[in-house]
Amino acid sequence: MLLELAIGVIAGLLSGLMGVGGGIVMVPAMTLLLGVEQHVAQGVSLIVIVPTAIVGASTHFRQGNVDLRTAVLLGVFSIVGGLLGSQVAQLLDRQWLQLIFGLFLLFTGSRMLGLRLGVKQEKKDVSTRTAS
Amino acid sequence: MRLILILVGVGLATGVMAGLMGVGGGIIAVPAMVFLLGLTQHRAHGTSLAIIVLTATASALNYGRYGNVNLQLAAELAVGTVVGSYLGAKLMNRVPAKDLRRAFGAMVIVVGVMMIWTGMSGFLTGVQ
Repeated sequence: MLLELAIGVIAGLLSGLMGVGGGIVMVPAMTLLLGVEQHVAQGVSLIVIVPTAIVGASTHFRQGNVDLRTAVLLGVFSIVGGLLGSQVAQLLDRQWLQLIFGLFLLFTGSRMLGLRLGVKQEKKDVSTRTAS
Repeated sequence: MRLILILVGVGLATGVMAGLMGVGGGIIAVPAMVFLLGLTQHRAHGTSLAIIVLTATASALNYGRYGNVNLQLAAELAVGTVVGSYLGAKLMNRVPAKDLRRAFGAMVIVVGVMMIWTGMSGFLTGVQ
């Protein structure tokens, strides 16, 4: 119970601070720390993401930072993609899912290290410039 | 025509990634909207969250169909993320974001290696 809450707090904290989703923290934490099976960890991560994203999206919407047309157009195809991807995930063994997730972590981690210049870093540069 | 292809491609890629790995998919959607559709970083971030609501709901329902969910665990984690997001928003301007980002990036790579290791050893031992 306490460990679960702590993982949630860290996931929320990091996603708030660094703009990465909570899934990247929650899925490995569940499998490596809590011993949750990979498929279940991914399913739980998605469930937690829904309310978190609703809160985030409505905050941004009120501030006028949601492009509704793009959201609907991309959203339609992303739903199709989500159904496809989640269906494939159900058919794969957990080893494959872990391999895929591990590669995804390597990609994301190297982006955060700045090995490949990311969008977010450019934004950070701009904000520090305006701040100074 | 180019726009349609971009919308279909980016939408599908975001969704497939999210559903396959149980994540939001913002890491694809946000840069794609900035670079390919010309949205500002802020708008792309907000719009990506709206898209994630749709994608994650559809994907989560599919995981549920196969019994690959745990509602109690999800509730406990969700309580934590609410607290964490609040703290994160408060702390945002008080921490050296760049250093923290690098440290976290290094940690993500280590965890990635661990995850690949776990997966590979699963292949070798044949344990499901």
